[in-house]
Amino acid sequence: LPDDRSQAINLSSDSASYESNQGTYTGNVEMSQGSLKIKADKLTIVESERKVDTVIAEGAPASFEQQTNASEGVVTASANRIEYRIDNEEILLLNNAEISHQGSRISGDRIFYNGRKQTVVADGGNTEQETRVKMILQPQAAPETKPSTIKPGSEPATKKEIR
Amino acid sequence: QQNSTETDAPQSCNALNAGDIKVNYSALIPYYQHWFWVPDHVIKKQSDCSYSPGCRGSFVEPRRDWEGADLDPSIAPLEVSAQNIESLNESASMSGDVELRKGNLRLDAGYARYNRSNGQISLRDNVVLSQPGFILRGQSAELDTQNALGEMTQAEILSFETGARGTAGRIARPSYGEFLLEEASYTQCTPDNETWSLHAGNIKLDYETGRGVARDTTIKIHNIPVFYSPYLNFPIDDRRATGFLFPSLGLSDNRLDISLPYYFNLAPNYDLTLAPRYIETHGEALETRFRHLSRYAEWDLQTSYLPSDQQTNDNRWLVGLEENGHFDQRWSSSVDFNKVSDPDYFLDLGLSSVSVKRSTHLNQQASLQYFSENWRGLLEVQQYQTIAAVEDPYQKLPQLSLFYQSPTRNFQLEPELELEYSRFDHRDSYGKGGTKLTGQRLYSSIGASLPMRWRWGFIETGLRNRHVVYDLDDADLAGVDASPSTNSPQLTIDSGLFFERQLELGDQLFSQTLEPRLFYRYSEYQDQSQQPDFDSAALTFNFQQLFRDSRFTGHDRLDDANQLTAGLTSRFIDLDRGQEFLSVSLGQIFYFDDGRVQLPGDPIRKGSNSDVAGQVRLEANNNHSVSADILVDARHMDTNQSSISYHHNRDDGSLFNLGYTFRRAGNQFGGLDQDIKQLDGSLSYPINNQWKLFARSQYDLEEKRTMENLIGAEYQNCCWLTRVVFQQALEPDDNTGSNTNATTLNNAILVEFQLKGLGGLGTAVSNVLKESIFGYQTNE
Amino acid sequence: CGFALRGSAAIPMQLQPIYVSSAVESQEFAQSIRRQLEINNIAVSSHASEARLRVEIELMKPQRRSTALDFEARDAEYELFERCELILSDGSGKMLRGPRVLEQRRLIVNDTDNPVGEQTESSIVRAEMLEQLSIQAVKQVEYWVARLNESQP
Repeated sequence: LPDDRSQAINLSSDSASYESNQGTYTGNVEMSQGSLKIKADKLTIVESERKVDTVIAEGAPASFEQQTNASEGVVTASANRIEYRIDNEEILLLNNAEISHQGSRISGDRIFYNGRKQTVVADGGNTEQETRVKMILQPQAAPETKPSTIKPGSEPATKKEIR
Repeated sequence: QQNSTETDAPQSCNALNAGDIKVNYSALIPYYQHWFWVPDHVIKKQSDCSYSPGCRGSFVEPRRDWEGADLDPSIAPLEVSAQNIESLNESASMSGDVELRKGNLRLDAGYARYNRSNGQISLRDNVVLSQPGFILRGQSAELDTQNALGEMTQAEILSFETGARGTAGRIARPSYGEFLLEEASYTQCTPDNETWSLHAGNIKLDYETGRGVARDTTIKIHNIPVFYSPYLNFPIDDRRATGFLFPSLGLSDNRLDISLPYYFNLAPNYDLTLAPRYIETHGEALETRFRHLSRYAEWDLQTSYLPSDQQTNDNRWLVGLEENGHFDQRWSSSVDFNKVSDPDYFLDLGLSSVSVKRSTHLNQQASLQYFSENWRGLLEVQQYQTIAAVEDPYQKLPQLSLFYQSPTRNFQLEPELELEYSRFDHRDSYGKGGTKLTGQRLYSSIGASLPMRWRWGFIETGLRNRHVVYDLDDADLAGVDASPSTNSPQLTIDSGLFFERQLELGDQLFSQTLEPRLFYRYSEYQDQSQQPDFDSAALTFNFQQLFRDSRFTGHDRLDDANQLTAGLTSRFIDLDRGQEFLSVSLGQIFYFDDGRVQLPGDPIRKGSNSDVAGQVRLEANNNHSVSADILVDARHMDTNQSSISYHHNRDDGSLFNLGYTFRRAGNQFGGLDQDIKQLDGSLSYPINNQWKLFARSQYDLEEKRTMENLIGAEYQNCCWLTRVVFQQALEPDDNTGSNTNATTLNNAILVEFQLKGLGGLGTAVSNVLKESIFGYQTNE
Repeated sequence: CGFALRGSAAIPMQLQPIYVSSAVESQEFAQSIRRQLEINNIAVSSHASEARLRVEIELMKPQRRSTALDFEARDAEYELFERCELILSDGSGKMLRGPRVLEQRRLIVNDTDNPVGEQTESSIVRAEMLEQLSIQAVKQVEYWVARLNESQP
């Protein structure tokens, strides 16, 4: 949600360490801030000028969840490595990446999601072997009334025909 | 003959898909690979499916094995895989050999942009759309993924089942089974043999009605334009057999005869054929045929017009109208009207149909019939045009008849009634200065019968009074009684028993019946020599005649009789198949009085008994059938009539027929003027699924002459068909004017060429084959 | 020699009444089949819903073929054909037996001087052939039904 960033961050993990401007938490790490929730095996928080700038979550896979705004549904994502740039609300998901967003689920090797502009860009990543990107969209409203499944070449409709 | 539809036929090769056989498409040559065309040497290794005639391979649809491949697109999720995908709130764009699946819809493209709000998708560079039975390929497309409708540019279409292929600048798909092609070409030829193609401004293929409509159409054979038509309607479902009619060639009495039919299949229920025809030494003619089918009636109008024939320099024309109508449960009608400009029309211009050349009269008849549970009424007008040096017949202008038959009630009286009013006219009647008696006639037959039926037998006694009265025109001129009349009561006693026994031959169980029958008939003798003979003739004597209640047709002679018929029929039933495969019948009439009522000029029948009449019908289940009728004079043991015919047809469509016919002259055997003794043999033999051989020979043993020799061949592949027939046939030759044995042996060569899949109708060659070879049916 | 008077009932009561259906073109022929069924005292119903057995009948186009020529190469003898296609289905319309084609064929002499007489003979003979065809059809139904209730006790 837009006001997530002003919410308090709470965080739990098995162990934690801190040096210069980076905090590293390891062992079933859970972080939440308003509607934002992250689960990972290892979480690194990078600060600049004493403010959280980037959160890097790694796991097999790590998961991410946030409600973009009141009307929209929840965006959930998972990948072996998630880089979340808080200020410009960008998320980079790397290998075995997957994101569910507005009824579509996109999976691939590298996915880039911009929360503010609501865009998702997925490609095969820069590894040599091309991996493909997949997307699944659920059907929208109820199907139209007349299912158009007349098999071609079925019995012509006219009653009598010259043989 | 017995048909074998009860066993299920092998699967048609057209409906094969990759599920049935494993196809390594990449092993095929590129052009076959492009069109998914699998030649038969590949298919034959894996399936014994049956081809439509002449085809040597089939379009095999690749397997549709993705998950949800059988769902309707409107209710299935859309699954996409691509090299990269960008999703921007309402739209998503994908690039890098994009593959989309939505239920049974499959889309591939270089680039695609999908709009989530309305399900619209636009695709670019080598777009492929495939759904069960179809595949469309093109440069770019705009589609609605809900129902796979939309349009595609620089596109081509293939319908796997029908093998129809089209390419077009633009293909639109307004509904599931409907495709509109612009600047299009279309063919039903197969990639291994592309002979004809149809080029049109626009073509509509409607797979729901099974029809294609092309406008501004040119037909090309090997890219040479051969035919143009502003409008062409043709079948596009799997009735591949019908071929486009083009052209018909004939050489008869070394006179060239070419016709170029233009076939306008205007709608599923009516079509028109225009055929300009050139006949050497006679001139040019235009032949038309219009057929119309409605819920109530079938119409078939044929005309031909040849202005100023070079030989007789008058106009020669032909009109033929046929109608069969059923208006509701009660009323039906029929018309059969034929007229030609002059009697020699068919001898000079009738190219193919030998039976028309051999006919003596053209029927001109119209009738209206009422029918209900027990009543039947018939109003009929009939006359003939005589086209031979034979008698001019009487005309029925009109005849009105009424029949009543009571519902069947065992052990109760069943009344019956027949009333018939006829007015007979003639071209050279007394009124018109001729010598033929004409007038009106009223016939009535009122009676009742008392049936007593049990499972094991029956006795049925019938009593009826037959009455005929005339009102003849100009009787004074003819010097005859103006209103002769005759009244003759008739008594019939019919009785029979049914015996049965079971037989075991090998492991097969049969039942044999024995059905003796006694039929006594008494009809009072009345002298009728003063009465005219309008429509009475001798009934052909055979086993059925033994049990009829008259020996004349028509009602001008109420026959006298005092006779007893003894008959015996035995039937053999194969109980496993539940089929009667053999019936043998024998019978004879014992006369207690002479047959004094006769047709004009016939002697009184003396003899104490009739010939022995025999009849055999055999229908063995592997498609052999024998039919025989025989008349033997028991006292002198010589045969007066015998006809035997043997027919054999096999599942591969081969036919073999043999026939022998012998009949003595004379009215007691049916009214021939001279004995006939003739042999007839014919065959149609498919050498393989492309070549077929035809042959027929008919020989007159009495006159020691050939009546017909025919040799023919048919070649067809998936795409076109040609038939060639050489026919030598005996024809009447009235030109010599003398009435003696005037016949000529006419040689004719007929050639027919058809483009398959464009609809058309049989022509000269197939008509000859239908007439000459028993059981021959083209599948047009 | 093993012959005995025919006794067994044509069609068991529990499989009656029979409904005969045909296209409008063959309605007259269907009527003569109903008449033959009644003659063999088999009940006929005019409502498909009531019937336990259904006979579907279609009369095929009458055929005529010239079998011999006279000395003037005119048609001397014709062979007439009447054929019908017969299907036996159960009450709900599921096909049990057939389709089977039954055929009647007759030879008649063609009197070239009297086409009216010849045409009248061919209408008499065709009417008789249609009656024989309907008798043959009812016999065929009886043969089928006899095998029917053996295979379905």
